[in-house]
Amino acid sequence: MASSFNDDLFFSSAVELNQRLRGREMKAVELVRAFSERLEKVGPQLNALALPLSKDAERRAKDIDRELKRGRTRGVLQGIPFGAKDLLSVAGKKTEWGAPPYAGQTFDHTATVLTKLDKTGAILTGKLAMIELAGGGGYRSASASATGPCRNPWDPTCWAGGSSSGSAAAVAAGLVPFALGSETSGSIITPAAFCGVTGLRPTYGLVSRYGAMPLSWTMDKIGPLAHTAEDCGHILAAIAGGDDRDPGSAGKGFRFFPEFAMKPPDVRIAFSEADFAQLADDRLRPPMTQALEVFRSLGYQLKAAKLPEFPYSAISSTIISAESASVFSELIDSGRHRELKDARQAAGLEAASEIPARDYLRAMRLRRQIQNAMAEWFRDFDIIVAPARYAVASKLDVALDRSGSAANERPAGFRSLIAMGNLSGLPALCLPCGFVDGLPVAITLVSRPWNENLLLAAGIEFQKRTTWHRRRPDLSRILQG
Amino acid sequence: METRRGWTRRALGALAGSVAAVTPASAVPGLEAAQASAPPAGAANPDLEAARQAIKRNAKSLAEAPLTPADEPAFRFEA
Repeated sequence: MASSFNDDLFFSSAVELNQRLRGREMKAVELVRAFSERLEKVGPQLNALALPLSKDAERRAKDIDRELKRGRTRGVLQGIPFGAKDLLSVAGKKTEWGAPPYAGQTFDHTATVLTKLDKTGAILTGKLAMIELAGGGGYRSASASATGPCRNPWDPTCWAGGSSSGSAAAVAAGLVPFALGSETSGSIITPAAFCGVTGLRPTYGLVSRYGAMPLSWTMDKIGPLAHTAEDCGHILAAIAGGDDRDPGSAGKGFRFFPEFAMKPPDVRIAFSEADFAQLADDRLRPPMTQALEVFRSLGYQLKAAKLPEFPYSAISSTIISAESASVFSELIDSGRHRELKDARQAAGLEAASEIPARDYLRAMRLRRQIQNAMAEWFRDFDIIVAPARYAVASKLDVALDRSGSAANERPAGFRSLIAMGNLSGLPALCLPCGFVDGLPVAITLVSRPWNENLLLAAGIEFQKRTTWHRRRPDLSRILQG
Repeated sequence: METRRGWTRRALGALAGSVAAVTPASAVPGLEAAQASAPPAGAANPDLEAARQAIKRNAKSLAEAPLTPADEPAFRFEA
């Protein structure tokens, strides 16, 4: 049965797949089998799969089919397969955080986000690969993962991005309709951009991290990667909400109502002229500029702007380093951090253990200044638009700590957006906006806290006017292999 | 007193070799990509030294940013 599905199915959005399920065009168990088969065939070749869960998924799909037969509907995610970054625990299943020191690790509880998705009828088909420990020690190589370097479906000689590598690669390759990833500083936006999928980083505190590997308690967020902004909205609505088991939870929920968001003529979009006129990689200028023009043609107000000046990267690095050194203090003290795949990560964690409390607190005090400055800044703007990354995905063997050095010589623009946005807990949406040499490029939209509906509304309108999110990589060699 | 533009330049310098990029945007001049495991404890470890230097550069950037005693740490992160 599974082999009778064509490519259209594997690149359908969750909304489209759910329509087919409810229309009785197929059964959930057939859908799950088809996606599981593809995930288990292609996933290992891309180094995107950490743990297949097809047997459990098939059992769950049969339950869903019985529900659908009885006419019980749970929303657009019912019966939809999905994958989760391997930092999210599933009771009794291996959760290895992409890191050799944690090989074979299991927990007796399931992450809140996975429990919530299960309640909507979404079906977990596999755990997806990630950079070890979500990259908290600072990594140098795409190989910094227990599953090996995650390959980009658009060009398997290139990296998928990190740290939610498998989540982005699996969606881009049509192995799952959507996936969960996490971001501390760029780990959803970057792989989404490199793999040409839509990614949403929610406001800090909107989505529970209970059952997720902590890296930096005050920075970690969990969010979806999918084919469309619309899917991201439905997924966020399913996973958002207060959770007493997450001390960072804001106790807020999210209702997906993009139709009630502020309308384009009233929405002020900030952009940096330097980003679009003097990009590090000249080849990125046409797709980026065209993306800006799409927003202009939709009626949004575009205004040149720049961010308040702060040492964003130093603040972000200090906070993440100090917190991750505390999170992994037992690992570091045991010496087993030296088992990590990337020696740079091990050294980074070890050095981070030496950060004085004074420096950490100074960074947190400056962070508050940033938050206050951005609250003021957002009185004049509603959305920031900027390149999601300033270059396309690098080759697998390129040292990641070298690939950005030339870019840093160019004007800053909104280059600090990832650090600023994560320090301030702001939501962000990554939208594919073109290709350069066969590799995806993307823009990112950032807004004030709790403004996900505005971002998603803008993303939905953008994707009505463009088809970049509908492009498919050629996987024929892998599928024939 | 140094301007914030000055800190930004310095921060870009600090970014070179920053410890926790998570998504790497950093640069560590003079180091080659390496897959090898870390050297044993006590042995010379250029990665460790580079990481320590990055932390020092970050601390310097932080120290140059003005604060008053009234500037409390951020313990809530949403606006």
